[in-house]
Amino acid sequence: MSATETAPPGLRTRGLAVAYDDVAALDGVDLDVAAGSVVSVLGPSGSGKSTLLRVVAGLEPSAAGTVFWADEDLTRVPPHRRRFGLMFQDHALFPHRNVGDNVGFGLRMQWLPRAEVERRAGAALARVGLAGFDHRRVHELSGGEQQRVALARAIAPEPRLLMLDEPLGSLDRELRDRLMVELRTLFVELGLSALFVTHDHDEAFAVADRVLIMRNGRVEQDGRPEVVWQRPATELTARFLGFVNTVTLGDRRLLTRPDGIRVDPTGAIAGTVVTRTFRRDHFLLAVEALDGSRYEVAATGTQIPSCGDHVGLTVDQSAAVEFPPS
Amino acid sequence: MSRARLLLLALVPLAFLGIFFLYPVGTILGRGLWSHGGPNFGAIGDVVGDAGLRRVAWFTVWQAAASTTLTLAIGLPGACLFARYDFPGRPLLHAAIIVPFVLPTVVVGSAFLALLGPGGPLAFLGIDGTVFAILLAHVFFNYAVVVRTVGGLWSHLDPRREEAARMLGASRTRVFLHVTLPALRPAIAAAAAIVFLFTFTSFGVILVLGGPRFATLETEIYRQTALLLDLRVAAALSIIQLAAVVVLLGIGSLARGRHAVTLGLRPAATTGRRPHGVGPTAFVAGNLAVMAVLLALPIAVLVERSFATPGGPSLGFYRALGDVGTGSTFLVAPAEAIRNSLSYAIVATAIALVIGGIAAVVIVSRERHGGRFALGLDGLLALPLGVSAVTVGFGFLIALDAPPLDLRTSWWLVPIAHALVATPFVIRTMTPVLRSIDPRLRDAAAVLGATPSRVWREVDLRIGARAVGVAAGFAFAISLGEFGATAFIARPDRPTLPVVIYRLLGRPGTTTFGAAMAAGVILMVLTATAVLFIERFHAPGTGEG
Repeated sequence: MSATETAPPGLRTRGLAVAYDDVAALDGVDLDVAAGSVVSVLGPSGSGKSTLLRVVAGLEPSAAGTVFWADEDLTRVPPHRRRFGLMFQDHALFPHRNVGDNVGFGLRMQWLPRAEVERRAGAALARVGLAGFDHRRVHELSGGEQQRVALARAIAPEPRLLMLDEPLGSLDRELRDRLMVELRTLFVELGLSALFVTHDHDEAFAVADRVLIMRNGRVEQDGRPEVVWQRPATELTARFLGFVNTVTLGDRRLLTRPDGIRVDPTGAIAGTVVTRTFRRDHFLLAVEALDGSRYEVAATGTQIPSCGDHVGLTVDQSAAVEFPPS
Repeated sequence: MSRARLLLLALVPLAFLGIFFLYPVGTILGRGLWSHGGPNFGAIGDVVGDAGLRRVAWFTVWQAAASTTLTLAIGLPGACLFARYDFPGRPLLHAAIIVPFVLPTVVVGSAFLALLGPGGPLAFLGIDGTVFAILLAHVFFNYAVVVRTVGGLWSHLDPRREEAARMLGASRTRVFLHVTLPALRPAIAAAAAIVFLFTFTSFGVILVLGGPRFATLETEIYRQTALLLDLRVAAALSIIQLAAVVVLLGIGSLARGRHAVTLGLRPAATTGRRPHGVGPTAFVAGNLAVMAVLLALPIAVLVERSFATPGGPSLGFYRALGDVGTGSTFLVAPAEAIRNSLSYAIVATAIALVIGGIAAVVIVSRERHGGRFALGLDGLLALPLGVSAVTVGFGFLIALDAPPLDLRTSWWLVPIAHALVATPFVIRTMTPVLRSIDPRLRDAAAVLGATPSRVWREVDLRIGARAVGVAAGFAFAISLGEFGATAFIARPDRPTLPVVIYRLLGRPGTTTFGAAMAAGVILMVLTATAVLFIERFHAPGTGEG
């Protein structure tokens, strides 16, 4: 980059490293969140996702690496001066304050006049569908309401980057599905730059413009959701994303999801159905092939084989990813 | 907060302790152990070799252990009562139980004499003049320490954890043993340490109830300094007492520091509920009965004696209080002493809150980094509790008499001495609550733009506000009731109320004894009012800001 050029607005980390007791929690993480975009970080627990958020927030020092917002080096800037928002796992609402005071906290920290704090806190609450909740006590709220208060608290000061740490983790399925859509709508409407950490595939792919896969403190893959979903870059990522079947065709090794294998009487693979589970829009079959290998197959239609049936299987090669033989 | 800033902050309580405690006490000890131009430890040898003094030391230890055990056994149910149950008159009772704790020890002794002695309502027990009278008086005195220190934390514990344990198949007893008790452990250890130290250095109660039969190190130090004028033996006894206290505080700090845990704390108001069913109702009733007999009865006897003039119940003793004040033997009227006591108490409370508050913050912050430093500071600041008030008071007079610290005639000497005794209470009331604050709340505040000092103000201070209220109440009450050191350092023309009471008790006659009882009642009412006021004043702090 030449001296006259300025970096585009957005978050940029380079080579972030953190170690706890010689175990690397972050191992050279490069991350870009362009202004106005939503990036989700997906990984199993212990992959370093939460540590990444805490380092970007400034709550955790990094042993090496830099955190930039555009041209501004934030690496040594304390958390309260970064103008980043963080929505905590399990919310971390202040138990000694009511809803309005929780949401208005960040605004009060900017020494805004009381009337403006109340107005903007009220607006943030209305934005998450909790208008008029200002005087409620935090512990009187349901889990979903607490989640919304935490979100309102994080967006009220209008942070330039909003980070969310497993924000939907503790909620029930139905509520999560609804809130996921609401979150996505909110991000788009407010033009928020957001960094979203989760271990849940649905959340990561539904909410983000870009998905990062993390494992053992490293970024394994970084790309558009549909690309990452269909073309995982490494075998571990593929397994993590549901490519459970390994099919060997000659010297080729293909990994597929259950819906990448079809029940087909003329199929090249012959086997026996071992289990059969109803999954709303399909049946999930476990099929044991003659050579002893097992396949998970999503079967749809009206003719679903039963346990003990002998079936043939065909691999849909366009839905499979190929890796070198192990 | 940065490490450097924390250590700088720590200098404030350390300097306070150094100038107003270590230096005076060191001077006194030096006087006793320094002779003929060199150190001379012969005095310690003399003390250890003396069978009588060995008996005194042994009695001091075992009566303190017995008093502590008994106080915990009776006080823990009381702590549960206030933390978990709601009943009519609860706030008033919560304030009232602190009254025994702040009564001057000589008045407590007199009240128990009147209660257990010939003609008293509990004379039939036949324990007057035995060690049981001393133990009961110690429980009377320290009940509030256990109830308030343990109950303060207990009321903030999330009852859902206990409910979760019940759902996992634990009986009430096992829930208490495996869930509640471990969570309360820091507070129980803190309360036990305070009670032990208090009874270990008990003075007035032993003097009045023990008579010539029972002596503790503290009364022996007093006897050696004030009556026998033997500074050498007194200094040796002080050193032995100090060594014992240092060892005990060290053990206490270790036991407490190892088990710092994050508790799910909730606003106190949500955890209290009305008793339902036979068990809970009996539990509440049983506790109230214990408080009635153990706490209310001695006070009732005290009040009764203050009105029992020879000609029948009247205000005669209260009027006499005004008379002796204007008489020739007293330099000031008791009304003046009340004013003195109040102004000393206000200043002492302010000093103790600042010093103790800073220390609590430093201790909790350093603990998060696993520092030994925190344990050391905690133990160091508790030292004044374990050193005889007599030694401290005497040390002030001897050590602080030369420029730049010529405070011997200064008004500030008394509130400083009181703050010295009150600071450990402030620390011990505040650290368990500060320690239990979820660290993510601090992170949340920081990310929302709060500077480190604002994080402390908005999170720690707000959540700890209730503890600050309790601590302030304690400090104020301690200052109002302090007697041992005040007797040495208060100027004759500026006595506190307890000093006036002591002067009255020291003079023969029904009228002066009655007047002492009347002054004791006034002191009691004063303290209860002050504590109630501080509690009310701080109550909104835990709610909306």
